[in-house]
Amino acid sequence: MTELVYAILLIPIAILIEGVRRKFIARMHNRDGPPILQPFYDIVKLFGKERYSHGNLIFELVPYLAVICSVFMLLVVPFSIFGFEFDFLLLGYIFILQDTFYIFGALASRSPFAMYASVRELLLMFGYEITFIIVLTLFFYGTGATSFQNYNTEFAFMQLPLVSLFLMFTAFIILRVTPYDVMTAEAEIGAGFFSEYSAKPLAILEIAEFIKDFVVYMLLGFLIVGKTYALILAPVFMIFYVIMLTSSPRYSTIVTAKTFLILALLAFADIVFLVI
Amino acid sequence: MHTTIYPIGPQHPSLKEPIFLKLHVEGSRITKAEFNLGYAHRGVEKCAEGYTLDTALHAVQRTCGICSQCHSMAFLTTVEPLANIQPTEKVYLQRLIIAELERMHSHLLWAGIMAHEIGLETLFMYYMREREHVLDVFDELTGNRVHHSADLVGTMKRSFGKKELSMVIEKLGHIEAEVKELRGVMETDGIIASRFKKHGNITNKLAKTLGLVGPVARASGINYDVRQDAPYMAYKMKELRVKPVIRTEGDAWARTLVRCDEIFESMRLVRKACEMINPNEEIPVKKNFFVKEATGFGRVEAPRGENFHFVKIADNKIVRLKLRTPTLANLPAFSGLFEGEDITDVPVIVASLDPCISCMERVAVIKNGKQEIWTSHELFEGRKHD
Repeated sequence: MTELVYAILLIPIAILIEGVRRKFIARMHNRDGPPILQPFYDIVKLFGKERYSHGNLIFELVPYLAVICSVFMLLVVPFSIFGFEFDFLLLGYIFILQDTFYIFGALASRSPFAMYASVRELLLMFGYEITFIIVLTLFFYGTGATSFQNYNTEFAFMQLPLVSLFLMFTAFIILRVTPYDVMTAEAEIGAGFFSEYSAKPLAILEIAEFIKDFVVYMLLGFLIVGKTYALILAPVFMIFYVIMLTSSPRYSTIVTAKTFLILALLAFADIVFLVI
Repeated sequence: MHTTIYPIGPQHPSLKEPIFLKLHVEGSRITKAEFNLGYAHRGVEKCAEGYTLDTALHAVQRTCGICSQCHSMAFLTTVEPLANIQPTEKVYLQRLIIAELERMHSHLLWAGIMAHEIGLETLFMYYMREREHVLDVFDELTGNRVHHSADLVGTMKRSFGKKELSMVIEKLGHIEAEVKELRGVMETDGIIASRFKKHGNITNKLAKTLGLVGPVARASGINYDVRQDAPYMAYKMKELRVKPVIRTEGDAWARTLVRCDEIFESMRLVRKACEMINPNEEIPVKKNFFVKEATGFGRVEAPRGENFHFVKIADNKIVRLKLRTPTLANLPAFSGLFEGEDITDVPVIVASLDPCISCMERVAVIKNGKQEIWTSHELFEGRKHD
């Protein structure tokens, strides 16, 4: 129960990190950018907006399911530090589940932009979700841990350099960072999955995304550098991905799909290499 | 395979102006593209009818927010000979400076949008920062940042002195260094090249058949530039002869580099014109004139291509004004370009043609939704509205 309270207290921090991220992006763009509290203002305003439904029951349910997934992720990663025993593969499942919910919501909205976003996501899932699961497995196989709680390795990137690199690669897609963010390519498919969402559901979806991003930053710190540095390193990884986001254009869908299929194959090869 | 209709527009993030692109898509390949216009008709031509040349000039300058000076120059190349007015050399040079700065401003804005379409927001912001310097120069020279309104029939509103000209040269120095670096990014980045190369191909033959103009034609190997082929105003001077930038690839990449290089060509012209201007000379005062009856046309090279104006005057008032903006000439290339391309490439192809929809919209059929055809007589003489 204490863990849940902590997790809920961490939600504002996740939103604050997004505010800092926007500020960093703006500074990279050579502009002032919004205030750090802007995501809070956005969410409060979205909650008060007039609302129209553009889909069926699944469409309505998806934001709530997505935010539940996100809070669950928050329980898995940071709170294993304080003692909440989860199997590590569970995290991989939650990530896949959340993406699947997004795809269902997008397909239920009958928007062509959302539809193309979900088609792209499905295409890329074969590459990056498989890699993500393999990478998680390899981290725990390589270090001998069985759950997040008893993962005590520090500076795992020295021991598992390739696996760390693969994890950072998959984070590009999970965080929707260029050059691999085809499913939210604004110029082609509008807002992607979220094209038809508005008002309260959109606010909830945004919260879910902010939490997921925060968890990914934490996870990178947790797995690659060690659990004592996880919270400190979250902003560092955030800045790293902001630099990537602002300094690179977007690859086309086909190139992205090929890259991640090759990555999945390399991850498979890495299993063979590590096991033998 | 099942065909889906993928609508882009009238409102869409990749379009800055309203146009409806209806794409027939199989998987993510486009098999057929149709487009629909008529969302931004403003009636500039009708607006000018029945007014004197001075008043009409006011309307004409507001046709486009980006190439305002080019419209004013096209109108003045038409009406100044009809009114028997010969402006001085300084007026011509001042007009050239504003027109070339406008070309730089248009191409900088366009390059930014091109970067935005492939997700490189940083480059977009950097290009906009450089464009801001050009707008500062406009502010100093004409008093307005966007719609300059600097021209009058036969003269201009302000005379450029030493202070203004030195500011232009100083700002050009800033812009040149930065834009060179940004062009280097555009040229050397592997991802940008992979997104632009071999997309939206227009062959030399196709460009000739469709009669394309401007940087789109020049990127397909057509050596056509109104400033070179039918020089007007200050472009007639030997020192200010234009060297058009020609490339032969005909894809989005070629169009990008043509426009990037044209920025430097414009800088050269502005510098040369600043040297040639006598800052102490005064420009002529505006004279009154009366045109009994006359018909004429004029054309200039706007940032997007040939800008054509047809004017018919009777009793010092405009009876018929026809503006053909370069986008209309480039529009036939639109639908054919998308066939066989992926949805990913649509924004790049649209942006590489640099359409300026609101300036181009001319006819809107609102009568019972029926199609109407104008006869050639009506086109020249104007049409009586019920």
